[in-house]
Amino acid sequence: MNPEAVILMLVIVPLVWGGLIYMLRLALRYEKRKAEKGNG
Amino acid sequence: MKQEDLFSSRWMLIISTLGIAVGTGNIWRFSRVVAQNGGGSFLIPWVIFLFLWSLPLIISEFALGKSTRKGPIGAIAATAGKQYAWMGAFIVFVATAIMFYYSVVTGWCLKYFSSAVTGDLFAAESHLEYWNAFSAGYMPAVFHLIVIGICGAIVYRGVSQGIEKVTKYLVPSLLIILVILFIRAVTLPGAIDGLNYFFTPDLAKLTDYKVWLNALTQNAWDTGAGWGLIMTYAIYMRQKEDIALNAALIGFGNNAISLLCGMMIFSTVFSLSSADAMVEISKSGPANTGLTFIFLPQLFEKITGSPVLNLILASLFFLALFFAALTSLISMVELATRTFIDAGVNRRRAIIYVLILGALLGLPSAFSTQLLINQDWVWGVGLMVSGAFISFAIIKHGVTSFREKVINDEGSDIKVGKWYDVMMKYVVPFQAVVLIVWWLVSSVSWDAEWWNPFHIENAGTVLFQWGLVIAVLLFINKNLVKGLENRK
Repeated sequence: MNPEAVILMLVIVPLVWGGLIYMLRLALRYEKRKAEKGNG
Repeated sequence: MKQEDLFSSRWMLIISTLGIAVGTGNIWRFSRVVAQNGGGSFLIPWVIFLFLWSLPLIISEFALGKSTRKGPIGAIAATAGKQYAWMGAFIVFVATAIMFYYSVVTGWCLKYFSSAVTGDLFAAESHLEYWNAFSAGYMPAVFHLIVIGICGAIVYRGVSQGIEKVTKYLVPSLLIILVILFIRAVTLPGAIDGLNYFFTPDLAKLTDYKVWLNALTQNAWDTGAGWGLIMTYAIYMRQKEDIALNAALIGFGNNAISLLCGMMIFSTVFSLSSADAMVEISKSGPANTGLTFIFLPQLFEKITGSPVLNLILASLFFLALFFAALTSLISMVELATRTFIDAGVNRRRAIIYVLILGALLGLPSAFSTQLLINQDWVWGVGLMVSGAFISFAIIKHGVTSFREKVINDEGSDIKVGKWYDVMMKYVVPFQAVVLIVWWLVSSVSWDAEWWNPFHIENAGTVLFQWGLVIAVLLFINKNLVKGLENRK
């Protein structure tokens, strides 16, 4: 792959997929907290 | 609203809403638009519009549906004022007009899945002739009726017993199939050439406004922002459900899947095509039929050395397409059904009305690809207007108070900041106005008879159809409001 393609791939893929994974982890954390609150 | 009418959990809401967003637009439209707009150069504005257009509108749709517990007509009337109910009706009309021909497209996917499973697809000597014979006959109408019937049966059972139960299997299955196909595609010899094209930016292309327009319409098309569909599912959110984080999950999730599909398609095409792969993708014909139904079956014939495995992979691809299309179509049927329910009709009767309308008004597109292309053109661009109407409703209500009281309500996990006010007040309307005006001005050069409403793809047909619909909706605005009051 040419360098420009590699750079763009390293920006776009982590931004989009990283964004998704970050949001997912955040949602999981909030759900866990709500469940603990509910049980408590 | 009864507890059994709501989505049973946050995850079910997210999966179902992701089912709206992930459709055929991610799998085939995205790849074609990338190819037509300079490969990697397109990805830059496409990601920018996720933040500038799609995310603010998805947040708004969730908030409107959850706070008003009504479909677009009721939600816009309650937020902006009763005199603007027609704007909500326009949003409903655009999504429903798309539903009429989208069920035909979903039917094509089902037909090709059945052809792949039976081996009929690979027995064809020419895929072009196979497609022409299919599309010219009555079979598209038969598959359209089957598909609209399936959707009706699902929506009839309601949200928790119908939509949720089906999408919880369809969406994960779709994702698994896409990952399998992605792994096979990127491990093909020569797949790197496809990835190279997909990610190589041509910075000169970034000064071409067409690339920006296409990036915005593609993002609106594949995230489902501004369609009114997310607003409709948000009616069934639990009261203490978050808005902003769920909206972000849908936006990022949808774009992540588009990237996966793009890498899969480009790797496959560049690896297996003996012709100029770029020409094959970018000239894949109107309504994207060429790439998906003519060119890709040729490639699946040689994707591995084993004919049986090729058949399995082709079947999986068309099954994924069918699942993607079906989950989006279900939400369109629900939106139309919900509109009748808001007018005081019970769900059972409402679904019968929608099925009859969907079956009949989808038939012209089933028999004429030209008409389908015209409708895709007119109402696809109409989504920009729908997005602008949502933005208008929130501005009219007061953006800051909407954000503070509705979006950042008791159920919110994360609070939305003042950036949202700037987006909804200035950025979203600015984008809509600039792009619509640019599109109208430049359309004069596409067609010498740009004003002629009987051409398939020009400004005249769009302005004529939009004008007609808006005039009728303005005329019946009082009746629309009266219909909402019947429900009370």
